Amino acid sequence: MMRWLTLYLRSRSVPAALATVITATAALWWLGTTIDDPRIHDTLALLAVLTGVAATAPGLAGADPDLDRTAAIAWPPRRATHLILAGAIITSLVTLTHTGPVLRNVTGLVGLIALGVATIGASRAVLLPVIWTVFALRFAPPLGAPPTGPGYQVLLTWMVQPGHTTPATVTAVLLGLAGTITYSVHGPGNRW
Amino acid sequence: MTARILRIELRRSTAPWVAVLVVALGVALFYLTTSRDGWWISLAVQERSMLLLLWPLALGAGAWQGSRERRERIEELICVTPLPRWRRVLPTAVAMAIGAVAGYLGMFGAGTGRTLPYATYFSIGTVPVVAVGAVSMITAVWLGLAAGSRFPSTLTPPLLGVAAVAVQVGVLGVSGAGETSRIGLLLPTLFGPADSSMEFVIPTARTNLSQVVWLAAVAATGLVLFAAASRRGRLTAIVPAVIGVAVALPLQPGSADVYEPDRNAIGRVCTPDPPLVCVPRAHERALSSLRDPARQALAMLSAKLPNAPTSVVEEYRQPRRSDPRTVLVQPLRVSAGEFTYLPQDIIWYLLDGAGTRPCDNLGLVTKEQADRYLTARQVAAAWLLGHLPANPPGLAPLSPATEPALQTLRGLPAGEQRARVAALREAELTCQPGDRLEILTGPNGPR
Amino acid sequence: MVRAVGAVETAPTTHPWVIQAEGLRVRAGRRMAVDGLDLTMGTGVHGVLGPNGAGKTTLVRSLATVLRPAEGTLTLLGQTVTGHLDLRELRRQIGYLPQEFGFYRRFTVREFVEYLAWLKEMPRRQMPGAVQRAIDRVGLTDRADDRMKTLSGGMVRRAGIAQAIVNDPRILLLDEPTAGLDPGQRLDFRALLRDLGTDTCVLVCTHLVEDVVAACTDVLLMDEGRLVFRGVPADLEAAGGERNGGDSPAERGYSAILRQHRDSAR
Repeated sequence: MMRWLTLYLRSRSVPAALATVITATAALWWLGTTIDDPRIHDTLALLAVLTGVAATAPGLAGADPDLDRTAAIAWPPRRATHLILAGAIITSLVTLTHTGPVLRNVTGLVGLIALGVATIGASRAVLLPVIWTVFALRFAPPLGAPPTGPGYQVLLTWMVQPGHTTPATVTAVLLGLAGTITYSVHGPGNRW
Repeated sequence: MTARILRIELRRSTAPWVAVLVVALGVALFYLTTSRDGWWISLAVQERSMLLLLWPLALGAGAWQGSRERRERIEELICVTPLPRWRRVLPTAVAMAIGAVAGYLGMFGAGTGRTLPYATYFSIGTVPVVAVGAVSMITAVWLGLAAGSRFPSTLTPPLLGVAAVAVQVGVLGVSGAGETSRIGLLLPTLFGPADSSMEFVIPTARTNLSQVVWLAAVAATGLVLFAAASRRGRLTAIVPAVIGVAVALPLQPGSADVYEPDRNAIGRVCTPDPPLVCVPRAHERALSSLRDPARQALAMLSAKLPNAPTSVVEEYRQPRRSDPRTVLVQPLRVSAGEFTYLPQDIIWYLLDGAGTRPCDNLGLVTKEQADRYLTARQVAAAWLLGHLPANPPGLAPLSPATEPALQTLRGLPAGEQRARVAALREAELTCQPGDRLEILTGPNGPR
Repeated sequence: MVRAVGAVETAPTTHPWVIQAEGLRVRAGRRMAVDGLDLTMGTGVHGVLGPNGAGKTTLVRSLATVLRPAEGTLTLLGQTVTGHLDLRELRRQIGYLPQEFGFYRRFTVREFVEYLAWLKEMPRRQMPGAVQRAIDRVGLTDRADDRMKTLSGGMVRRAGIAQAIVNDPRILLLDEPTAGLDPGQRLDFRALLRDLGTDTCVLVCTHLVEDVVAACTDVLLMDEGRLVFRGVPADLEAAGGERNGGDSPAERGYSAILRQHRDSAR
């Protein structure tokens, strides 16, 4: 079992991803210690989460999606477990070093990347969370303050809203669910 | 022949995607956010501020493109071709630069929809602001190409992008978004002055020059890194960056000289007929939304006071001594060709202190002194208006002490009331020391 | 530089062989995959056979100047490949289809072949014509403007052959060119090989004995980094008997020679 797990983890380049996430989180934590503005700390936490999620993407597809698809094991629960474990690791790492609505952002962004892997393939999947976050960062300090209305702007900028914003949390959870289900059932999409 | 290859790269590389992505994101950012519109210079600076996000995106796109040979497993085929590496990668680099610049200019073009209807002049100082941004986009994609070809991993583009955002947020967090520190001037972003509205100023030549030298030098470093085939070649890449620092740092302006007033923007534009209402040229479109409230305020002043002012002038740089015949106004907020206040708010603001500017030489130390000063000025305004503002005014928020003080003033005989408000106006015009509320409601009245 | 050009341009009169190897040893990773090979090749189609791990791909990669020889001498078009040789002139004369053929998926077939022609420093005027001719010769004319990623496996292989022959190379190295081709395409490909072999030194690595017999003028059999047999296709067919495994005379000859070599080595 242990051996199987090790091989699986290596086939999905988990060690490299983990090293990347730890390094990036540490670097962002260090950056946070040099900045007094507490509002910027949430932004740094979001960037740490984004790094973690980006590092997860290559591992969500094996070297050959078609080969994986033909393997005679039950993929859906395995894929869901993979996502949830990745999310848990990112959450715990970032929570250790940063503050802010980490769990919400991990949920939504992991869902987004899973959606991306299932639709546009693992190598491009990172575009989805990155572009959305880049867009939302316009509203995060130091560039701005997250909108409190109108409603659609709150939804569009869910990852930079304060932690207690219910619509933002709902959006993140919906994205998380949609991503997990799509990816678990459909598996990684093909290159195009 | 290379032109044909360039055309292929323009179509098949990441270049067109960079352009489309930047324009799309730019349109979303321009049109989904509420921003101040109406001047070419503020459009250009807004776009430069968005480089905080677009620059890392271009960096990541460059890295993605830079790892193409490894990703598509074509290295085996290419390593036995005779064409030197630098000539092979040059079309890629040029195509990416064209894509990034096209995206940046396209984004500026997309923003014209919110500028063209309101702009009445074009400051030539806008051009270098856009140009420096475009150069910085080339810097981003070329640095990305270098990084992507050195570290051809799927993780490189997102990591680079996040790192670039983090570094910029870090610099801004340390120095503050409004301040322009030396290190902040090395970033591609520009945020406008902290103490003035963007429409009245332009970056100085030194600002633009130091930035473009530095960014072009880093771009050259990226290109050499990307194109060099050998270790020695890559080592020489440090040279342009070092030269860039050596030239750019001495060129950098002091923090007071990052921006200078834009002559086009601060010239005076007035109504053709008296009573005169004037605005800086930057606010020309908004003159019509100031004219009526301004004239109403002038009418109220002349109806109740002797030697009343006869014109209203909004001015960017104001003389120290006030002209008694003019109500001077500090630059107010304008967006999309209108003052962003209700007419009654503007009237209230113009009547504040009986049509005078607050004095800054009174040495008001305690909060109580400051409150009494504000109250006195508001009592004069309310007396001229005839009543307290119905709704909380958007300009010059109402002090709670105003209402009782107004009652005290009104308890005096009519002639006395007028004399006391006129005395307050006189004191404010000359900025002589003394307690203003005492003038209006004190037992002795004006000396 | 001028001398180098002269040597290549006047090649037929100054050197007897297009490819000449003496005691060639080439490393693949830590293993010596080509281990003492003496070889001379002229114009014609040379088929290299051998079991997995025989060193065929390593040989081709060293001939393509991807790998440098660890020992021995390798002379291509009269020039000895050493660490000091400027390979640029030589590489213009080489066409190479690697075993793992990577390509730019977003390029069209024409763009991709044109790109490779550019990398091979073809004269500008000849390029459009040469690209079209290469595409025609591999039978991809009607797919020339389709993206590479829309091609089937066999078509990708043919596009690979097209890029290898686009510069009219003097040395053409094809590593498993027929993988993924359907029977009809293989027949066309054999005809193409025979055609190319009239003025080019073509080296084809393959596992398909039939292709070698049908299209090659010369058969080489490698095992464990060494050359164990060389002859015309008829020699290969003659070497086998009824006792050897295989469904055709050539296959039986192939197994017989390998068996014989391995027995004697033991």
